[in-house]
Amino acid sequence: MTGLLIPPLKADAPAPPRRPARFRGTPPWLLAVAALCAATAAIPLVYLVVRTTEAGLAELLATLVRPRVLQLTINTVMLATAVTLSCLVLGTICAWILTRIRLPFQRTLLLVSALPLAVPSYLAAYGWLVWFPHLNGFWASWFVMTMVCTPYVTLPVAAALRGASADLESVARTLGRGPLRAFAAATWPQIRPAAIAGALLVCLYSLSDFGLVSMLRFQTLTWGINAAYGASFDRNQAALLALVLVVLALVVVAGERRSRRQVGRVPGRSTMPARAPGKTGPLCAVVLLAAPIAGVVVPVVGLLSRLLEAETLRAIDVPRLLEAIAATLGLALAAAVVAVVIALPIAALAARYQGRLVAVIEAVGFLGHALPGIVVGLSLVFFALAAVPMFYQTSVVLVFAYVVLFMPRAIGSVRSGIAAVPASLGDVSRMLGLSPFQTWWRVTARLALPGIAIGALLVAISAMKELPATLLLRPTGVSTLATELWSRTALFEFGAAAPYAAALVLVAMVPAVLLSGIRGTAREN
Amino acid sequence: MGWVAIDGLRVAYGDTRVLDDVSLRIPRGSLVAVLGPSGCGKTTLLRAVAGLLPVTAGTITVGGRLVTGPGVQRAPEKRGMGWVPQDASLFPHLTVGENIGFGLPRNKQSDDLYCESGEAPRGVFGLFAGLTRRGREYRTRPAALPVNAAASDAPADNRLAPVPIAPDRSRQNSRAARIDELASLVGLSELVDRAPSQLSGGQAQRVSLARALAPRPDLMLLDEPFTALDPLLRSALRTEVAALLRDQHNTSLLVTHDQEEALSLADFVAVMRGGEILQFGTPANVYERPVNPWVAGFVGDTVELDGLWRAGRVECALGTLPADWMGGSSAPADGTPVLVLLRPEWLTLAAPLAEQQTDAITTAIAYAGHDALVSFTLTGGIVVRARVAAPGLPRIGDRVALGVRQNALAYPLG
Repeated sequence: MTGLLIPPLKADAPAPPRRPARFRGTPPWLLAVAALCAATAAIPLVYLVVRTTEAGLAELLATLVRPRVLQLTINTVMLATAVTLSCLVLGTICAWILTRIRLPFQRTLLLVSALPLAVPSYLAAYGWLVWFPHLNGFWASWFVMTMVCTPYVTLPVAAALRGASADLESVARTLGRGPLRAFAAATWPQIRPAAIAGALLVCLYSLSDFGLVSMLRFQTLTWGINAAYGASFDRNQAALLALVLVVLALVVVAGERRSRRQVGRVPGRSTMPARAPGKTGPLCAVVLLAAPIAGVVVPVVGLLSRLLEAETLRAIDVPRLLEAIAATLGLALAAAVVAVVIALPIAALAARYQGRLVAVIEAVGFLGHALPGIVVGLSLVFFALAAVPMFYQTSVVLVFAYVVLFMPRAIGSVRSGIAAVPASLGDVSRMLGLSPFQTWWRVTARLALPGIAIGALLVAISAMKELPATLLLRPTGVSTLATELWSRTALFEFGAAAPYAAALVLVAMVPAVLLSGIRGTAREN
Repeated sequence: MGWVAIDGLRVAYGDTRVLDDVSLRIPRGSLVAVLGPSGCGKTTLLRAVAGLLPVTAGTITVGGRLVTGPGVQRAPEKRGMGWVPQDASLFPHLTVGENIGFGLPRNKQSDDLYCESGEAPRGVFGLFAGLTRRGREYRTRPAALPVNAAASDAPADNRLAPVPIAPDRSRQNSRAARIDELASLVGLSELVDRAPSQLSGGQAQRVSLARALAPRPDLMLLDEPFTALDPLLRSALRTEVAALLRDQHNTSLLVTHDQEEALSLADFVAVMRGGEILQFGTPANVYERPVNPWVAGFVGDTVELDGLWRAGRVECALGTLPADWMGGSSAPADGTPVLVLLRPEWLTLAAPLAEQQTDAITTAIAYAGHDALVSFTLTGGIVVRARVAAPGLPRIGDRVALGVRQNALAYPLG
């Protein structure tokens, strides 16, 4: 069967390809700047390791096998595995329905199935708690988390399915395979990288989630870290738990890298003739809408019902709410700007040059992707106390934490923005007499601007929603919408939490709207 | 010495040599085509001349000024060369007019920015013509060239005569006027406000050409500029572009893998293979006296036969033909086996009075309208192909007499 997947030999070689970028040699100054920027992303991890090993190896091992630590680790792994598997199945089915069955309002359905991404997990948990205050434990966490995370699989798999050659599946059918076996043999290998990449996001998300599991009272490592840190007499314990969590996350990332086997693209008609839904229509709709309803509609309706109660409206502390909104916006804006500035050299390097060193620098820049927010927060608490005490409990450290955590998003979109600018335009500009920096300013940066802006907005959205790092690092007296929501819910004051939850949804919508605008114009160009 | 002189140029990546001791002279005002198969290093040569990639060894001088040499690697923007890439590469965020004007100084202030340090505006720009953008602005060239210099067979020395720097006529030419001038030159005056995405492939390539010409480059570099176009448009546009470059008395270096393009456009053709220049000469020279059988086969159709050398003639299946020895200084001893090479159009039909002729049977005809490539089987079963002008083609099975119009070429075997 694998024979089917070998791309056909190119009959006639096309005109000689453009010289690969590496032929021009990487400018050393760019390498140096990018390496420096990437190094900042490594600070939390490095410092965490240093801090933990200071305690001594023997003590480390002794703590590690304590039943408490083991229990937290098992809980975390169980939840992450269960959520990843269920998201993988549900997301793939949703993607298949979205691309292969002719349903009404197809574009709207795609948009709707992406919606749960906009809701932070703790908000979803809050929404469910409003309806069912006694919800708790593994199954509740598993259910809500699955509903929130499914789009991470649905969206990339749907995109891959749309790009996958349907001819292969037809060929497999004519060679005698049934529909399911034909799908497994011909189509699955083509969408597998996308599915695994999506599953990786889900797995990392559920490993590092703090708000949801804490609200639903399921004790995982993140919960344990926060508890140990809060207890404050045993910060070594917190550091150790954080290290365990980081190791888990890195194992997952490494596993994904290994299993990412490249499949050559198969040319062919990309669209399978979508079939009419027939009797299965309602069933398809139910499967598709499960995640949006459970992940968005239920929590938001719960939130609104609480918000519109007269008692809540009367109790809204308007100045405090406005203060939280301002703090949220200000921190997110600062994080977006700094993250893009730091991501820029890394992205420029990765977009234009190749090589081992470039790959390493980019990978280090992406480290934040694998680091749970609570780990970065904790590590930066230690780091700030030890290295830069004047910044401890200031916005500087908090913004820096956001930058480390969300820089990968900026690198990703800035890099693709720059890579989309043909290198030949730069050559032409140089030949017309512009220096490298003039070329960068007047051509490359100008054309990559949508990508850069998208990167900034993605960072802003994520920073607004980030909870655990904010909890650990926020300056005294400053609270954001996320922390206000958190502290109200922790006290079961669901009504008092409602205005903050609503404000968070609204505020996070601003960059999202800007984002769709930019994407629209970028597509027109 | 040519206007552009490339000496011992070598580009290597690790152990792989992409260019190996390439030397090339480009006379002023002429168009030189570098012709070679894919991957022969011709694009690398062009990029090395442009300064877009570092060279391992060798020197490049343009108009007597060193741009690449030991310890010298002038930045691409300071070489004063124009670049027309394969895919036009217009700036998508600028209009056609802004694209054409991209390389022109925007105003007085930015004009000064283009001067190199130590060359702050002084009254002697003429002396530095070509060194700086401003210097180039002050130079006019077309009128200064002798008219006969453009003819391809004029002696090379003629073109190398120093060109007097004319008084700066273009000083008053403002940026906008220059853009208009070039837009009308390439026939796109109506389109200056369009976005590049609204242009056809041919129009985009013209804009790209106008953009490169605008700052009056010392040397135009054209990187297979016509390959991305469809065949009909390609031949029309390339004739037009060659005429335009010639009118502007531009010195140009064109890279191509299309022999028809190279032979029809260029004043000189350099045939390249495996990072080396095998032959440099006029198109007629390269086509009619190729230095070896590979070059012969690359630039056109060939008829190859085994033969024996007999004092200025060769014995082969077509009889005993007058031949030129192409294998080096001294002709070989009589009776040496040689490779006899002819062009299909050197064979003629039915010339019963010709000195040399051979009986042959027509066995296949590849009809092409204006002419046909006809295969003849000679006695002994050897097949040769001749290009026969269209009316009066033989029919299959016809017995004809074959003659040869021109001295055959004899190459050493192996």
